[in-house]
Amino acid sequence: MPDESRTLPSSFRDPSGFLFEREGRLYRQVNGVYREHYDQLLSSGLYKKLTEQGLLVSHEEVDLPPPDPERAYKILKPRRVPFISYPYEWCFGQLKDAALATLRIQKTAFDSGMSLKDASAFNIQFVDGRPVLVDTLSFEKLELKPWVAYRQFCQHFLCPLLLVATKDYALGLLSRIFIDGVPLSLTSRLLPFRTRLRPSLATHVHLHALSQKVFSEKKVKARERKIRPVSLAGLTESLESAVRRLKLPIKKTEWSRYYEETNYSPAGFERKKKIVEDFLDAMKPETVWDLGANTGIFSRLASRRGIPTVAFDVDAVAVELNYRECREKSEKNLLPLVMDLTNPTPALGWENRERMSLLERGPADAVLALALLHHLAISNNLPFPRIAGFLGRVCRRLVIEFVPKTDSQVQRLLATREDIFDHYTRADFETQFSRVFAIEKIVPVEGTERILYLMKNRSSAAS
Amino acid sequence: MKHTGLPSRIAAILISGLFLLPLCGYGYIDLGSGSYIIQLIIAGFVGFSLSLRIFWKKIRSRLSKKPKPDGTEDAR
Repeated sequence: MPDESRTLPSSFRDPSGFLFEREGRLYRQVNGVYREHYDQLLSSGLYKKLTEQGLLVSHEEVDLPPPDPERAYKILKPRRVPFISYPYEWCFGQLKDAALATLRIQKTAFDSGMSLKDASAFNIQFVDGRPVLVDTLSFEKLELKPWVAYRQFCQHFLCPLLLVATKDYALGLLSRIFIDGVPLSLTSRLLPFRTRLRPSLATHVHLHALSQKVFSEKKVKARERKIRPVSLAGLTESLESAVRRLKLPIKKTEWSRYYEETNYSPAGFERKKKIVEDFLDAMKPETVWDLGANTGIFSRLASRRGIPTVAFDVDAVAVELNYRECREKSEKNLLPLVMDLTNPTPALGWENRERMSLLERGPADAVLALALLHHLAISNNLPFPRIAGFLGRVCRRLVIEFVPKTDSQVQRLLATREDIFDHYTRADFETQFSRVFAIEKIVPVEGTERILYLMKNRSSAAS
Repeated sequence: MKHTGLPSRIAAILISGLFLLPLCGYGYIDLGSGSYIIQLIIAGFVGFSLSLRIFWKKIRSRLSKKPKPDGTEDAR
């Protein structure tokens, strides 16, 4: 069997088909066993309806030699997603929208005599700013049986949403540990008592967890129970109402009001924006990653130029505010994500190959690293060569801001600790970064002590 | 050995009497016996409540239909 094509390491669970790459293009093989379901997806009009509503990724059928001809029925060429992101990188609002999109797809599928056979959060990606189902093979003919993906939906969506909404933003990262969804039993134990008083949460989470515990090892003769269509619809509605009612209380965090508390004067801030805009216009990058993007003010300088931009920040509230703005303004080119650059997303899953690390998803054409350097170098004790080394792996061009020690923000970082950073100087910064990047432009931000640099990666691997 | 509390055991006995557990799976993911049982219970309740809502909506729409000036009702 296969040839020059490469099966994606994440595509092995579902016998209905698999994704593969050939000559740098992404394809999906539909297997013969899935034939009747695939045909119904198209003939029922469900595919057309969902793609028109922007809920399902579109594809075209192509005439290509299949990588596994014995099992093949069709080869599809899906629309490529600009940047693959994962549920543990999403803020609350993104996960909630992904959950609601999944339920909306399920309701639409019912009308066409179909149902989702899985409800994995990994099957959702953000395309043009909206959650989209990217697994075309997720549908099956509707049978009047309990929804097979019910537990998966609860574990992938409801549990992490509840934990973040009622306990702490940081619990969203549990999805990174439990990639098959946050266990119901753990969620039930962690949730506050008041969640037991809400019927939808009491049933979908607490009783669900209890039922799993009680029946986990019970083996009783099978008798398939039918379920009425109205009950299936009611179940979906009940989940939808439970998800819809979840709200994230916005608390003030270290970073969420960063721009309000910065030491830039309004004029200095505008000058900095103008310099970044000039750099972007000079580079004309195809993709931009804004590292330490906060609420995305500078990311938007790129995304509003039509450049697909990913805005990373460690602060879940800043990312939430950024995402809300994206939704309010229907922004298509900006994807805010939660990312701790000092511990970026690792490769996860089977053989560490199912879910990609951050580095595997790069390099970006250009990286913005504005007001970031001092946090990495001083708050995290990262030497300049290590920072330059990391940035050299993630971008071809770099816009970076140097903030000298005399700057009040750096002084704030040093206020409670010993200054062990003798090498934190402009000269050393330029020397160390010059080993990885060629410095193309140096522009001081007038009215401040800060300096913006435009650099080009020296490595051919990143170009 | 796993210990389950008295309420859990009572719930198990009661619910086992109502539903026989499925061993067969659908598709390629495992729904799990516990999720199967709780789903049947929830679906029963929400299905009943949805049916009532639909029924009530129909009644209200019938009652709110105004007779036409000539005294005949809308044929729809």
